[in-house]
Parts: sequence; C-alpha cells; structure tokens
Amino acid sequence: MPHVDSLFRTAMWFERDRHEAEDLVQETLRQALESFHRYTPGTNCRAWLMSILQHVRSNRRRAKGRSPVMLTDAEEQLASTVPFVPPVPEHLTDEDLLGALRRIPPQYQEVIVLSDVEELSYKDIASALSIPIGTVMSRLHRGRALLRQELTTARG
Amino acid sequence: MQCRDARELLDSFIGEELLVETNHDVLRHLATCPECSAELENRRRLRTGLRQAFSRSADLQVRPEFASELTAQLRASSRSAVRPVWQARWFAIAASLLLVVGAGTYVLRTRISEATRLAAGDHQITQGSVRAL
Repeated sequence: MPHVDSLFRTAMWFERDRHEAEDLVQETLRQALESFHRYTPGTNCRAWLMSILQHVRSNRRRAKGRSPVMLTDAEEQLASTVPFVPPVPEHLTDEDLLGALRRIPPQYQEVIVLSDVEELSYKDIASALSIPIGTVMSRLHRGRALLRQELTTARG
Repeated sequence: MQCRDARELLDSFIGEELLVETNHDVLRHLATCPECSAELENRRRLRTGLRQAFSRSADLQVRPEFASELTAQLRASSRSAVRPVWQARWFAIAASLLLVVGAGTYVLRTRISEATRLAAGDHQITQGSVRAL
C-alpha cells in the first residue's frame, strides 16, 4: 500500500490525533476498495485517494456537528487580494515552518498541504476539496502570503 | 512581462501549472530580473522546507505495524461485504469469456497435436495444412 504514508500524514495533520487519523485512513481505503470500479486507470491514484479522504473527513465533521471548512463570499474575495508578503527568513527550522502553518486558518492549510506537501495539481486539489480551481489558486496565493507573515512574526 | 505579472505566476510556475507559452514568458523574465529570481528561490525554499518538515516530523509518521494491521482489517471487511449486483454481473461475463477462451484453446491444441502427428509420420506439411491451424 504505497499511499498509506501520504494519507496518514495528511489525516494526522488535520485530526491531530493518531487514533482518529488511523481510523480515517482505514475508512478511506475501505471506501476506495468498494468503489475501485470508479477509478480511472492512468490517473493519479494518490489524488483519487486524497479526494476520498477529504470527503470522509468532511462527512465526519458534519456528523459531529462541526461545519466543514468553508469560507464566506467576503472571505473568498479577501483570499484573492494580496497581503504584504515579507521575504522568507534565511534559517528556518521544521518547528518554525510547522508552527507557522498551524497558525494560519485551516482552509489555507488545506490547500498548502495538498499542493506543497502532497504535490497535487490544482485540478486534483479542486476535486478533493470540491471547490473551483480559481478558488484553489486564490487560497494558495493568500495562504502562502499569510504563512510568510507568520514566519516573519515568529522570528520578529 | 512586468515583475508584478511574473510574481503572480511564480507559484503556478513552480507547480508546473502554466501553459507552455506563459512558461516561456516567465523564464524570459527571470533571465533578466534578479529580484524575481530571488523571489522564486524564496518560494521554492518555503515549499521544499514544508515538504521536508512534514516528512521529518515524528508525529506525522505512520506506525510501522499500521500497514499490516490495515491490510488484515481491509481483507476482513472485504470478505464480510456482500457482493454487489454489478460485481455478480461482471463475474458472469468474466466466467462466460473464460469458457469461450478455454473452448477455443482446446480446439486449437487439438489441431496442433494433429499437425504434429502428421509431421512425425513423415507426411509433408503443405501450405494448406499450416493455414488450417
């Protein structure tokens, strides 16, 4: 199972609980096996699995009474504006980076993790999160700027 | 291309999401603009740093025994699952195909062995008998 590491890493980042994350990965793979006839050979299997994971996660949040990560129209508009982008500090530790990422809003964390860590295409991220490609791009743009602000603030 | 345009495209450039022509425009701009080249390096460093931080963080790594536990659990759940209708249909189609292919193979083998017997009996194999195979 070559994609378990990747699925677990993403699940663990968002759930922050090992038991929950393992359960999420197990349910993702169970659903993937059940609907394997829907997978198109030759397409990115990891992206397909990541998409199922996001759907399972979103359904669970809804069942627990927590709303899925969503932005209002005003926030979406804000996401497309460009905040001040400071330079990336010279020496960064893993703790600096993970701490700064943790401090930005979850909807920006989602796209950054899927794009920069899991290296999914804009199209695959849009499909996984059920949002338009334009929204993926604007969230990435703002999310990365916020991340740089956080890195600078933490160092300041 | 202006610096402002280039910077808007840099993330898509790194992610290899640009069309070929736009990609060339960015490359041409980078070749003559040290500021944008430095900005590109900043963004690449951030992206690489994040990926490495995730892969090195002990909290985000899977337990060594998780994969084997998962395999066992998935096997158990797939055994207990009821076979859906579409699977039964595909199973029937696959079985029919297998039967047709099996019968064809049997006929072909019979003909081949007949030809071999003829050859062993000093019979000259003609063009016609080869075609019959």
